[in-house]
Amino acid sequence: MVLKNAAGEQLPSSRLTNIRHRLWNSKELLLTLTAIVLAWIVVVDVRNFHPIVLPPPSSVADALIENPGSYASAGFITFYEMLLGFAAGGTLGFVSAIGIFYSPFLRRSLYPLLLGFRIVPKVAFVPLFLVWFGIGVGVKVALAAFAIFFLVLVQTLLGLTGVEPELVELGRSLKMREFDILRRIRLPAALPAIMVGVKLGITYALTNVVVAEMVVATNGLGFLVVEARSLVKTDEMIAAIFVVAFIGLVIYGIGTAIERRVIFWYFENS
Amino acid sequence: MGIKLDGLRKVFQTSDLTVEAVRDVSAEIQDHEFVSIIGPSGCGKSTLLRLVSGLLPPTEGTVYLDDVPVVGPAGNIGFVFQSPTLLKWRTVFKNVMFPYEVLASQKNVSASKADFETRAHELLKMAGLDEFTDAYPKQLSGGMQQRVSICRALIHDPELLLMDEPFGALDEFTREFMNEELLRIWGETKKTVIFVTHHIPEAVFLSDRILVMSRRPGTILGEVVVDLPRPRLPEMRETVEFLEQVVATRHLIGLGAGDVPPEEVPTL
Amino acid sequence: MTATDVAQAESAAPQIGEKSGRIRRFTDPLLFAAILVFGWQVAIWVTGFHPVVLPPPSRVFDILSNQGDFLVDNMLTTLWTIGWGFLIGGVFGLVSGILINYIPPVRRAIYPILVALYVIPKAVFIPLFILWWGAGLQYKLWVTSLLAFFPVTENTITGLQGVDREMVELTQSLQGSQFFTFRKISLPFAMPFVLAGLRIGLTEAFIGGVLSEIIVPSTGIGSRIVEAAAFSNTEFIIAAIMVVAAFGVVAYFGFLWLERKITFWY
Repeated sequence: MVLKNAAGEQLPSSRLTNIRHRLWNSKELLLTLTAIVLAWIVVVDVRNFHPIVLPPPSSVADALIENPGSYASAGFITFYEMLLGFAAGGTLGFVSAIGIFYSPFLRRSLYPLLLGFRIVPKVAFVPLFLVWFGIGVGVKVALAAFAIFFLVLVQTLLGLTGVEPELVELGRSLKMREFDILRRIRLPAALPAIMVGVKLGITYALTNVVVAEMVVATNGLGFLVVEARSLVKTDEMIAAIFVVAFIGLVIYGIGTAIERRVIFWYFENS
Repeated sequence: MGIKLDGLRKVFQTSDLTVEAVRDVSAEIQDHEFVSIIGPSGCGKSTLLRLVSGLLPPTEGTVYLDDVPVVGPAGNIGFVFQSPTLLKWRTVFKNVMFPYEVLASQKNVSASKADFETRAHELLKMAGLDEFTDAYPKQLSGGMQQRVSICRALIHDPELLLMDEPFGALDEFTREFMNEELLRIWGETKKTVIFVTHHIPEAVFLSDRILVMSRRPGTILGEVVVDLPRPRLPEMRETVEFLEQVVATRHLIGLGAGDVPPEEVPTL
Repeated sequence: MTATDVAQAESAAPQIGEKSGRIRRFTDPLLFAAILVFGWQVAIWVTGFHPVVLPPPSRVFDILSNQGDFLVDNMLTTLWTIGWGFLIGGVFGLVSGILINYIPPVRRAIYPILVALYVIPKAVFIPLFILWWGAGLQYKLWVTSLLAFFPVTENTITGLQGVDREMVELTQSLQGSQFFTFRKISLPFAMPFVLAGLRIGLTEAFIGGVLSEIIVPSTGIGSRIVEAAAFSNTEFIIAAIMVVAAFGVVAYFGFLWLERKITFWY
């Protein structure tokens, strides 16, 4: 929906929403995408790129079409690992956040530590996790869970501490027990912040899983990418990259859809 | 500056909606007059101000400033909005000087920078803010920020002052005080003022005339000539004559004792 | 904070436990960390159990003191990549953000692609980059700058979009030019957002720098971590991670401090 002020100009916040709304409808986008593909074809032809360096779109498409099974199964594996990691890390982070919230000591001690820790590239832990978990599904799920854990923890904590005091006072005045206040007031009010964590978390989980797969190199899409590189099959590599991209977009779409359902009340303009 | 509005109409068009904000608005405002425009939310009052200032082109009709049709913003108008809209990264003084910078960038200044600076200091003094000249907006209260905003609107000595519910965000005490301050400042400079408000007693206290607008699409329902003597004193708010004017305005809007309340207009 | 705020904050806090003081905000985290470290050390002393999985703090400290120079040297190498990647990605991000914001056709054409790329795990491009540029500095720069580019662009756009509409109207009513509006209003207004975007970009560049070294080890601390993993040298890994964390935190909060100084009004 477009909001305009009396002067006929779009209000800034709605402009952004509107842009996102028009995202997939713009002609220019279609044009650009077509132009990119065309440019790709032309460049490969004209500059005579060795198919190892940049294969033409046709061979990438071929790679996908000829062997959909391997991409699909790798995709499922990646997706499944991501989901597991997200579920584990997310739940743990969520529960821990509540626990931390109710202990002023923990809240004070951990919050700055967490903030600092958030900055650390979790990818640096991949080798460590390799040593701990060995090669296999465990590493990837663990890495994803590890990364998500902190994200969801921080976001949930942020959300809980940001609840308007008046809402809690309302609950108190109605003689609600603390558990009910948590369930019916604090958590719902914290949902927007938590949802941000979830949305980012899903994408972040995917990234971490793919990275882990690239390092551990047993199965999954990340593995496909790395394997294709070692076999010098660039078209397969690019095909795998596209599949990852596709999953990434789908996940983001799912995340946004969930967000919109769960906290439909939060968005003034939609 | 004399203003003439001739059959103004403004329609906003998007791919989703067509909104007729203002329809068939005609009025005449004399030089040095203080005119309030009052009406329900969403009736197009703000649109009208932007039409007068030239920020928006009318769909139909013309705005005449001193008998010259308006084709775009002219640079000799002062604007005060509901929120102070100060540049938070500048001091109070630099905020007041802002219009000078804009005009100077277009080589449109009639006086030197030093003149402007002197004027800025005078205005701030007149508004009672000279101690805060080098303060930053976040150090000031809402009312004080609004006063800075008014100074800013006056620094280039515009002949016309447009004010869009400038005191809407203030509490009653501050609002009444600001009304008196505004009249004091106006008294010393005697500009033409178009003042948009929701608040009937405010309109009566401040103005020579009150124009009443209808719901969207906004049109002029009528006017109330405020027959109170100038200068307006705070005590006047408690006189019978004052109340009579308020009642007259209320009746015109449709809020009178025997009237059916106007339907709620959902605002976009 | 007014008296009302304090009163409300107290009544709204979960009604368990103590009041908080300002000093304790600093000492508590340190206390907690100290307890953790100390507790773990004691547990190992007491049980005599020395798992490779999680070595005692004493061993980690050993490594930090004995190989401190080595660790820092490698970290600085990585920092070089990070720094340059951040600069390149940041500059391009700023320019793109401005262009996308102000040129509608560009925005309509490119912004959706940007959003899409933002959401895709960009790490997946790393093997492709290795293929194109080999396993040296160049590929690392591509990775870090790419990672830094996106948050900077995104935040620049957000910042420029959010300008007070009335301020723009005011300038227009005085016949100010578009460029004047940009220079004197949009740019300062967007500053907090742009700087926040740069800060996030810096974090991303950090990640990219370390990641690119882990995937294809060559130089830098990421490579050393991978080597240590081959020997199950967890003490070293943990020490190295701590070094990375330290640098990361310093960079992040240093930048934050800079941000606060520049946008003092926000």
